Amino acid sequence: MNRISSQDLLELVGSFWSRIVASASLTVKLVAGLIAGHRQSEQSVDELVRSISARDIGAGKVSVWTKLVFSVDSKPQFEYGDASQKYGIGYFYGDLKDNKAIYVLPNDIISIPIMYDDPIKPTVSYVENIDYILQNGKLIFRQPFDSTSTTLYAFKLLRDTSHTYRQLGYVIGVNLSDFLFRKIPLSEFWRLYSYGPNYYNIMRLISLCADAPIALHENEIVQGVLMLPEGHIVITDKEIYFLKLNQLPTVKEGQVLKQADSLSSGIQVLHDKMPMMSRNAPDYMLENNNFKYGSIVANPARVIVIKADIAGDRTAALKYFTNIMPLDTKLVLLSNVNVQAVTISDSSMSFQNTRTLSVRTPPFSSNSFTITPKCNSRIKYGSYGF
Amino acid sequence: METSLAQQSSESVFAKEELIIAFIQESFPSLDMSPGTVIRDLVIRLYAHLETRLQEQIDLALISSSLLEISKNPNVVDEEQVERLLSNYNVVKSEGAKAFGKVRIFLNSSNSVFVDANADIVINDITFNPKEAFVLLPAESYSAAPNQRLITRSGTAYTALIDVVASTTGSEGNMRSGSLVASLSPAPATFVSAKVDSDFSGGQDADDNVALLAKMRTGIVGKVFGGREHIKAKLKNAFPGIMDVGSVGFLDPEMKRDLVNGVHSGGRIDIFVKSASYPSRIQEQVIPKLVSFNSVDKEGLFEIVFDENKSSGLYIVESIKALLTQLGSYDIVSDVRALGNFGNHYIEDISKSAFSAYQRVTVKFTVAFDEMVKAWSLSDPAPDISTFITDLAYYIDNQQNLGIFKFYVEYLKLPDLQEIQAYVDLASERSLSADMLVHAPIPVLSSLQIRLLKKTGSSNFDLAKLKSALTSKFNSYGFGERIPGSALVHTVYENVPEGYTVDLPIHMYGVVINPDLSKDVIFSSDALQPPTIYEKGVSPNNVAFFLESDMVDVSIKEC
Repeated sequence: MNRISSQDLLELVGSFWSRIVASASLTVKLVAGLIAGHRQSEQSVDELVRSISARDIGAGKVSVWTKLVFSVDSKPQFEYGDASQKYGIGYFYGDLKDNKAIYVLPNDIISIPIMYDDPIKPTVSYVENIDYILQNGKLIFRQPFDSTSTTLYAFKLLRDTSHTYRQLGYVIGVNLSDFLFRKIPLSEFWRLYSYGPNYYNIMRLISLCADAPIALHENEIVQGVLMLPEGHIVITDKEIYFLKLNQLPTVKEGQVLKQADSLSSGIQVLHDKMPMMSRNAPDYMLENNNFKYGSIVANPARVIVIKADIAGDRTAALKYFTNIMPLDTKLVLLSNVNVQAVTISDSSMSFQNTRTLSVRTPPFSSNSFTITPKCNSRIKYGSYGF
Repeated sequence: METSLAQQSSESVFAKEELIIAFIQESFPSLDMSPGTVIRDLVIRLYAHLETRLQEQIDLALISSSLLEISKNPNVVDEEQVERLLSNYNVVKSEGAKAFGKVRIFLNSSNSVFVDANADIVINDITFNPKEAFVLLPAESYSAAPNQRLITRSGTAYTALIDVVASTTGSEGNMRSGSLVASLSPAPATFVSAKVDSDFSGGQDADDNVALLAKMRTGIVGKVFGGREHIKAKLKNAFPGIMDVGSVGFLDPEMKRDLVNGVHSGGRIDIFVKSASYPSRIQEQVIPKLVSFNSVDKEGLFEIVFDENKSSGLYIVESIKALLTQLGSYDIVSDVRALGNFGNHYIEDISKSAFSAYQRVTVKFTVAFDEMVKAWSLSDPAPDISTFITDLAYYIDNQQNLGIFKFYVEYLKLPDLQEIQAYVDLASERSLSADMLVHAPIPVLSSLQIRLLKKTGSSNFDLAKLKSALTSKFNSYGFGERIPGSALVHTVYENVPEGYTVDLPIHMYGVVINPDLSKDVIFSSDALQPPTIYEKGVSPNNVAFFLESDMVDVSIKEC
């Protein structure tokens, strides 16, 4: 989309307004303000156009400029039931938590990519996941502000307005938050619903739920597997895939991959409609050479068992598998087999979603608390049948 | 849509003004931009109004492209936009359809009469017209011309059937069997009364936004025999009258058909099709087999074997009687289900194919001799009992070929099961990996009790319309859905004038007819839940609730 720039507008009308208000600087600000307002309309038009496409629809709605004032009012307070936590000197309901870097934001804010101290000529900029993280309605800065009240301008702040569900998700009955649709795009559900449950479509959705990549193309050739502090990188002749820390690569250089092949331990097909039950399946699924499903014994030739580490909010997507998986076959998902429990030590906060932090090395820290992922125990796996 | 600037949301305009002012005041904190200043009123506010207007138009466009939003604000969006949107989903808005069926006319003689094509036939305040002009004739004048209808005798009355069509579209025209005709104008000279012979069908409401929303999913979901949604979409696409489809597959606890030596073999899918909002009540004259006669009790035992067309999707035989005007039913002593020719499907026994297209129904009933005489259809007078017993062998041998005793049987069944099964089995459509068997859903025949408190002086309302609305709401729920009492209470308030209060609790009852024909009763005042009895093959995947307006009891207490 072509956007109007403040420079263009200034060249067009600036000389006139400079004479009227007798200040070039004021004119620049005025024009910038008008353009900032207009940007929102342009953004809305852009979202409108994209919203008619299941492929392109964005998850959430963007506010181009949002003024945020970080002050005592937006700091977290002790809530009822917090008494067991001994933060600072405050124990009482409503007392401020002794933390200079954390601020409470509305829960519907999904992302703030960047914040400036001035929207026109910024001198300081803060970048998400570098200078701060946004998690569960709390904005955590790496360094606290010195002043008691700081105003920043958030650029392209993304809000969860159920935009994706309201525009297209409802058509196929998939009601997820925009936050989740950012992780698992609507187009993946759309393809499964509209084309039917073929192998690639099923595997693609499971891979997104597990946040573990699969080969996207037929006959991809692995050209290298790199190990980084944050995880592994698998490079093929067609794509580059990122594996998280707890996902070990299962492919080797030179290997030719079929479409939907797994690349890591994060997603593995343990049994795929073989006449005899695969020994890769856990013991509790085996009944001689048959498949055991609770107290039921069944022919394994109709069973697919996939191990996929699905945790956190992505599990919400699993309920939509029920209506779209083939009815003559049973798909059993083993989840959380290798997800390691994360404990937060010496922290003043608890996090629901620890997975984001687990890929963060070195440990995220600020001057008032340290979050250190400790991978020292295993969550017992659960299984889902579809 | 035209909106004046004065009607714009002041909050939205103000928010835009604030944003621009914030930009400027970052550098010029002392600059006066309060309302009334030149920059504020001439530049910023004017701009804010125009930009807000643009924003509102964009928001409206977003709402217009979402049927979910349209259903919440139906008056905001124009019809053309809705049509435009629907075209993306292969959905065409239905304009509705007229109900049709047969009316049985009672006459006081067998003389030929004429029924005008423009005659108004009023049933429950809905007007119907004959499909064409009909001539009603006795057997001796009848030549089976298309517009001729045969007058037959039933006791002392003479009857004939005519085809009628509703004058307007809508589901309210789907009359139930037995509904009385309030007026027939102009009426034939020998006209006595008339009533609906079998349930009317075909009446469909024009699509509202809620219906369109449901259709959209069917439009976009792949039409393949794959997952539950896909199977539903495929069948609803092929048979637009289908209300809902439930499916049971491999390792669903209620799946019994794939069991081989105690091991679930998979590859079998049972499809439960709610092919109508309520089962059709069909009444027809039959010639049963005379099985035996108990000369001590003076009672005949008869047997009706329903052919495959009638057995398909049949739930229960409700009544058997000799005369149309007779109340009650003779004793039905047995209802036996058997398997017909089920082709290549794997069906171990009849319990795995209840209410399917392959079930065959045989009922036996007993009739006292005095009542049998009423069913006598030969022109010769009926014999006395001693003659009958003497000639019993003759009557047993010739009952069916001579049609000596004729009875009227009334039964409930879901329509179109055979056609749907045939479609599922079609070579070009069938699943290559699964054996699919179509069933009528396991029925929960329901009733509803509501008491209204009427404030003295409140105006009266149309009770039949309220019952129809309640029935329509109740029957609109799909597989797996509970029927909340609150939704029915809401429906009441939408259909009664000021001054009426629903006296809570309301009472909802349901009789579940299990696949083994055993019955369970459920009831609730809060929400009627689909029952789960896996050992009987009953679950929310295959249970459908049905309510007819005769089973809605609305009492009114003035206070």
